Amino acid sequence: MENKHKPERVHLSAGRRELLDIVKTCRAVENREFNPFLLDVRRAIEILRQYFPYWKDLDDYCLDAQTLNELSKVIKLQNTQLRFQSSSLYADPEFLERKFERLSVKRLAEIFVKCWHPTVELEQLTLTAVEEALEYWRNLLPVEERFRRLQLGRSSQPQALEMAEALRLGVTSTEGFMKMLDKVWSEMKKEYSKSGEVDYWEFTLRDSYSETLRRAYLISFLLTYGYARMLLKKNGRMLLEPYEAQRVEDRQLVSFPISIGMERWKEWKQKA
Amino acid sequence: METESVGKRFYADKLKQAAHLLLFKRGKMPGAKDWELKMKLGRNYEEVMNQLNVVLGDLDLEVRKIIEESVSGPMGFPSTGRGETEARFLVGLKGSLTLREARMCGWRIDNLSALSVAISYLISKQGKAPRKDVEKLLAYKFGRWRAMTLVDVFIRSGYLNEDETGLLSLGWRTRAEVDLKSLMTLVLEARPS
Repeated sequence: MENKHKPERVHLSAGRRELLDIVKTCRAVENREFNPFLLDVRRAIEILRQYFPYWKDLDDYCLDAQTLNELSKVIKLQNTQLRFQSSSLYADPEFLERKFERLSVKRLAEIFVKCWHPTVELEQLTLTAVEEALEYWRNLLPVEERFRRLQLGRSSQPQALEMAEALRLGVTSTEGFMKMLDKVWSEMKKEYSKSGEVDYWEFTLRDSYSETLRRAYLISFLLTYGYARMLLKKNGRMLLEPYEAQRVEDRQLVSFPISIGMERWKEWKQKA
Repeated sequence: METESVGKRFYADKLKQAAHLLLFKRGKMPGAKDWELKMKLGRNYEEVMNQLNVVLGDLDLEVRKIIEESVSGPMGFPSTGRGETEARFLVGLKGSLTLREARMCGWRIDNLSALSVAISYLISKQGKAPRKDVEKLLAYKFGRWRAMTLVDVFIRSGYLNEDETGLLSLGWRTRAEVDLKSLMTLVLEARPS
């Protein structure tokens, strides 16, 4: 008797594992991770049939029922896919991805507006909006309380600042802003003509942290005003490409925040 | 004669009331539900809607009926067997805008482009796809950070839906405003300019 049961126990645990695998695959199909036709439903049913006579515990029967239920969902998805493929909306997702890569942003927008019929809606103050606003003001702490949480302390009275002091603090500069921009732009063009590429970090990082920040600030203006552009490489490198003259880009500008932390600067300085 | 004028005035009043109900946003979503219209306009509200449609037609506008999510299928088509018990009526543009007009309405070209990519990709995936897949696709053209923001914007405005498992699907606004068949045809036919 003992000998008869031992191989069966091993057999059953393998069966449970197989059923759990089927359930897992079915869930992946439901979450659109796999194509529903990748699952061999016939084979899965055979596995269910193979182990069904050996189940004795309630848990095993529940697992069996759960597997069958998940399989039925996959069959439903297969049916939906077949119906969808026969409709005019069908397109291969991979083909579409390649298409999107080739089409320009403007072209895609043009396509969209052709089949877009926006809803007409006049915004107005609603009862819900008034209630939400009231709730907001009710819960808002007084200014003093909010400032106390920020621990700002008492602020001093405004005072006059000497020019020399303002220069020391970096609030103002003897050089005009446009002149500073021009200087950095010329430097960038020189660097570009020399090496054919300008690495953002190499160009920005300087011996003092404040100078590094100043350069980053000026470069951001050069990019925004169309004196240069930034290229993001797949390996994460950021390259600057100066233009010979200011260009007005037709397409929308994209904001791209770059964090220039003290840690990064210190790291660079140690290496340098 | 008098009866006719009374009947006309009564009808004109109903049309005005219907226009107010559909055009002024009162809740989170624009338009009005069918039961709401029935309550305010009476049993023949569908007839009033048809008449309003004729009136608005001259202004390149139309009355649209969309099936609420609870009773519609994954692609926005009514599911069989449950009937159209919950419908929403909206007023929308009959024709289409030019890119310039869309920009004047506050839409960025990038956003429109990203929306067209997201919607067509979801359609090709039968209406549902993991959010990370959509973001990855958008990131190629718009950058990773912007892709995440764009998906959030589309969800907030009702063009996309996100469930608790991170699956994206087409939202009520897409079903109400976008001609999905034309979009797919135009995308597939498009050649790089």
